[in-house]
Amino acid sequence: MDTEALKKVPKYRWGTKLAGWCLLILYAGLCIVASVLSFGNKDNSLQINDVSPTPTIKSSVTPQILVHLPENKSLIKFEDFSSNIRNWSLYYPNGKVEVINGKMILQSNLSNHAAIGERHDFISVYENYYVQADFTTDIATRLPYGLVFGMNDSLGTYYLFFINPQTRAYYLLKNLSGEWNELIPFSRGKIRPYPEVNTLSAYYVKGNIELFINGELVASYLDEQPLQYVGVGAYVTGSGYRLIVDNFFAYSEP
Amino acid sequence: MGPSSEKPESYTAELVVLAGYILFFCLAVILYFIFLISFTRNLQKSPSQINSFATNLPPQTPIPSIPLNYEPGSLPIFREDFDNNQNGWTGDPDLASREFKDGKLYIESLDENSYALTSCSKCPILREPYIFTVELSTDQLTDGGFGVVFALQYTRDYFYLFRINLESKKYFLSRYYEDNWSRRMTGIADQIQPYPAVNKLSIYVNKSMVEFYINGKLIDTYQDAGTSFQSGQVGLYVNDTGFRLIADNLIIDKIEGK
Repeated sequence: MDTEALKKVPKYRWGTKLAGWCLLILYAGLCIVASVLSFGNKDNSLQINDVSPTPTIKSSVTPQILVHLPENKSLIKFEDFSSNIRNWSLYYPNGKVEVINGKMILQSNLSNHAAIGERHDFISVYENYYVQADFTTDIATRLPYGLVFGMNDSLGTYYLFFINPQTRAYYLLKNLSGEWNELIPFSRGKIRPYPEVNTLSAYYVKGNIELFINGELVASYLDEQPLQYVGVGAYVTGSGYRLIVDNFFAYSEP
Repeated sequence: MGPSSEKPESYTAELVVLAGYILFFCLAVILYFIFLISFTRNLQKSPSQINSFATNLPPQTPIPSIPLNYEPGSLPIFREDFDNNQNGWTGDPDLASREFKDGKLYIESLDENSYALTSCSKCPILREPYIFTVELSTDQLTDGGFGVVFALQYTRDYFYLFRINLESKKYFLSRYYEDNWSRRMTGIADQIQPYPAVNKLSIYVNKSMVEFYINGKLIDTYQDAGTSFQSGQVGLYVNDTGFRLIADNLIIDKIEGK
């Protein structure tokens, strides 16, 4: 009996020890999980503090023409929107074009009513020209927006390079005084989602239009009846969001 | 040795391990709930609204800058009750007619293809933030526009125009510079009262920012970096022929900006 009792005790202790070691491992695991979660939470709170209430992440990249840089750089017209001395104006009623904190802010104040912030004399009228600008919005939106070029504000004619970051789609339209023609239909492209900036460019040579998104050629189109004017601008489809435009480049050459 | 002489078995170690497991379970549950609460809060803070480009924008629903207890005429820079032309209201005589009657100023555009603009020689040249208020009505039903001008320069070749239309209930902000008009803002305001009501137009001007009030209600704001809206004079504007604009109780008050 005695020997049996003595034998039972070590067996019993061995199980307890195993349970104890397991418990230690579990505690260690718990500590690791708690540390990881706490670190992640700290990151989040820092991020929220950074963006609250009005964040502006400054780009360290110097704005530049991404494609089709002209040989004669003096032709380049650049708008950094430090002021509205160049007189960007509103086309279409029911909207607002402002210059705030180095950006052009464009908005429509009626749903399904477009607004354009434009300049008809940014570049001289020639058969070759290039337009480029950076675009984003103040909130995520399902509505498209885009780059206007070849505009004549008296006639109401222009090309519109439209993008929708939510669906990552782009298309090219031509407006002839209210009559819309779809030159390039709905296509998918490498469009950055909100809140990232998308750089849209259009290169026009005697009716041949090349479209670029973030410096990459996405489509080209030959317009047999091209628009002869060179007004440029930005376009919003309707109300509910504000389009933020910056670094507007353009040049034209004979 | 009989069973009665055996030492009672000690369960201390087992109890400690058991307590350890219970404590571990409790800590794990607490940690889980902390994580759950933290995750929900982060979702509510909606990081998708963060704009990495420039979100330093004014709110969509503007907040009035003028104090709630502000009474027109309480901080006067200039006051005009239009009893007579003691302040020297002038304009191009070929384009506008002016008449002082019953303590009001009647302004009419004489040229269908031009506008009538009138300002006064004794109106102050403003340089500080101010609020400008005037009561405007028309002598007949019209779809012509009228309004107030500000940042008016001496040569009259540069100013901003805040114009309303009684029929469409629309308001407009335009910039005029050397025969060129640039439209900056348009919208619809239900606060615009139809003929024959008097509409009280106010503009609060502070550096590069303007707030527009109609009948005491803030209807819109406008900002234009690099532009000082508070520099210059104010005036009255008639867009079209066929009616007379009636102006009364023009007040300019000094209000310090934020």
